[in-house]
Amino acid sequence: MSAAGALCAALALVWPVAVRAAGEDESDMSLTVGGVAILELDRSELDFDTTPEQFIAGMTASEATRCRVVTNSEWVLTIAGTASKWAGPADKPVEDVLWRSGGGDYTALSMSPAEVARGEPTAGLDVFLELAVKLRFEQDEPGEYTYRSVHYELTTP
Amino acid sequence: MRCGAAIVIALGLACLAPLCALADTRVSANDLRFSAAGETEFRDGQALLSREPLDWESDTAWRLYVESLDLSLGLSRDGRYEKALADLQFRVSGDSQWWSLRTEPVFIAAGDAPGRGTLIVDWRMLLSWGRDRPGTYRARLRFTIEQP
Repeated sequence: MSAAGALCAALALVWPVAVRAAGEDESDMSLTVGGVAILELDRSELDFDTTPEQFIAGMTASEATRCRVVTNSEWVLTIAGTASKWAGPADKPVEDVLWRSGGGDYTALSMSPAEVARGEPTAGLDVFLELAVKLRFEQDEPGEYTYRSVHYELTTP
Repeated sequence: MRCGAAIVIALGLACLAPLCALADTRVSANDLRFSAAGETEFRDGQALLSREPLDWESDTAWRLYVESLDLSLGLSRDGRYEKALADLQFRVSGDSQWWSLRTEPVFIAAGDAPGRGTLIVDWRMLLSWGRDRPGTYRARLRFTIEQP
């Protein structure tokens, strides 16, 4: 090797180091997102009055409840009764609570959860429920009846 | 003789090489572990990881960068959603401007004076109800400190 060649080789070794240096490090980032579901009802109590015409029709006028669904997963909204009877002067079964969503026929409330609606993840979707009370001449003695056991549940898979 | 002299010069330069490597730069970062995101984080629209230290050392002026080694933050548990890398953001603590991660170096900070120090960085993950399905989202990050 010539002297010039050796000199170049040495400079080549030195040059990159002298011109620039860099340091680096690596790290991992992680975030776990859980299934989050929020159900908000706009009313916690519904009051029903009765009229003779409603007794003849067999049910009260309906009252509406808005259920707001907020979730980052697919969801199912269900409704169920958690007590088999109303509190009142006479026996009145859970099935005398009637509900429907999106029109159509009313469904009698049951102690088994019934699906009201289902959907995709949403930042806020309103599901409107109409509730009414079945009236029976032969059973519903005068007085005040209360049923405090309507259970709404929002579930995600 | 000429050849011998050249070898001596070359060896001398080789010995000097460490002295020529004046720029000694280092950066050290911790793993970033966000707490599990729940209702609070979704309501806020973000999960925060505040005041993470980033240690640096340099004997010259320096510039610090971060980049992602992954194209995205990965898939949701059900595989139906891929979280965008840009949802991971950082800022130097105290600054108002947030910067999104990319797959190319993103500038973090610079200094004119040599020395060592700790840069405090805030990290956040943007969250959206309609998008961010359950899962664990990840990325590998590379921090680089360079001379300007």
